[in-house]
Amino acid sequence: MLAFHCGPHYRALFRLKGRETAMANGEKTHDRSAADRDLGQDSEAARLSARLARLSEALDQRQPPSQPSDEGRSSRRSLDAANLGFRALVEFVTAVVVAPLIGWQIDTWFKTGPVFLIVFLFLGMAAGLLNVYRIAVGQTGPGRHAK
Amino acid sequence: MDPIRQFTVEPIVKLHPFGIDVSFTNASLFMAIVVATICLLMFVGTSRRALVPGRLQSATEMSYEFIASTVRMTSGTAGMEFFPLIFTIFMFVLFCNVLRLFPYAFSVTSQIFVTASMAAGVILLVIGIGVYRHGFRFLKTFVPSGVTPILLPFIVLVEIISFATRPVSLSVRLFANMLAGDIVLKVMAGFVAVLLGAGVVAVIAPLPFIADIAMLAFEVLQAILQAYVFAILTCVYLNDAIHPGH
Repeated sequence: MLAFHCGPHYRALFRLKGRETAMANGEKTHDRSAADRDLGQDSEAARLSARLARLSEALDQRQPPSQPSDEGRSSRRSLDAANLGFRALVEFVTAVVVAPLIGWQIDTWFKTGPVFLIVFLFLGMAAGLLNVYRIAVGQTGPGRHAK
Repeated sequence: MDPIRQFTVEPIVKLHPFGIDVSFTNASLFMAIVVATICLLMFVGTSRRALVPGRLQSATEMSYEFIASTVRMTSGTAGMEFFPLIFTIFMFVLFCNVLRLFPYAFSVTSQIFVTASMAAGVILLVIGIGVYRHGFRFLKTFVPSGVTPILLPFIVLVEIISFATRPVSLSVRLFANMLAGDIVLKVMAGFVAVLLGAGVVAVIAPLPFIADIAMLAFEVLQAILQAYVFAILTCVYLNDAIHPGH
């Protein structure tokens, strides 16, 4: 739930950046202020939009890189422990239930008794353990564990 | 008093064109209510576009930024093209979960058909995107690198089963949480009614009532959490489709 604070944080960043640029341009704005007053509202709007563009550029630079960071995984890990336990349970149970169903379906197709059901039951246990292991390690998706 | 009866789907308008049952049920009614509520909130919340947001506007902006940062964190900027989908899924599940807590409301996400069809849609999308973007290379997600050739067939089978369990676990998690929450709430409320009608024992009737209120608060948390988990797992699975295998 950490990310709920994102809104105010962004707004604060915005304000901070604005103050920095205002400070950096402090002398210039002083010099220009008299001329600007003559030009009136139009230049005011133009300056504002230019400043907004600068700010969004600065914001873009501050954005995290395009690759998925570890932050997501750790924030998922920081979810409720009970919720994590329930997730692990569901992952394991579904694997143990789904795999024998696949085996049973193969059995009815090929008329091979309970062979595939039993084989897939054990494979399902392995898959369930793999799922639980992935939750524990904080990685999801096949093929990641051999990196 | 029956805590299970709340889950019966009853047709409101019966429709049977070509022998297919497409009746407008109480489930469809509440899904329509959920969608209408979300649309109303979003349209009203974004209509004023004030620089200093009001309460409603900051609520909509916060939900947007929350999901946007979640998507960016789990599947990178490349995942942002699926942001509309993730946002839709999150808002739909969230509002289904929260609105079900109102009296007389029908619990949509306690129907395994609803969650299962959403999970199936997500997984089909993952497979579609993976095959479309990477072709046969998508199948390499099932073949982890650096495994001894003797173990490889076994590992590949286990990986395929692990993948096949995803839609099931995704749907069952949401469904089971919501179902259990609904039943517990109704059973606790049933205790209150039974105790009130039991003479002297009615003195302890407030106890299950207080417990029910605590459960209700917990269910609000659970509703938000489960919507978040559903959305984030959708992100994670989509990320696997965008960047298959390593």
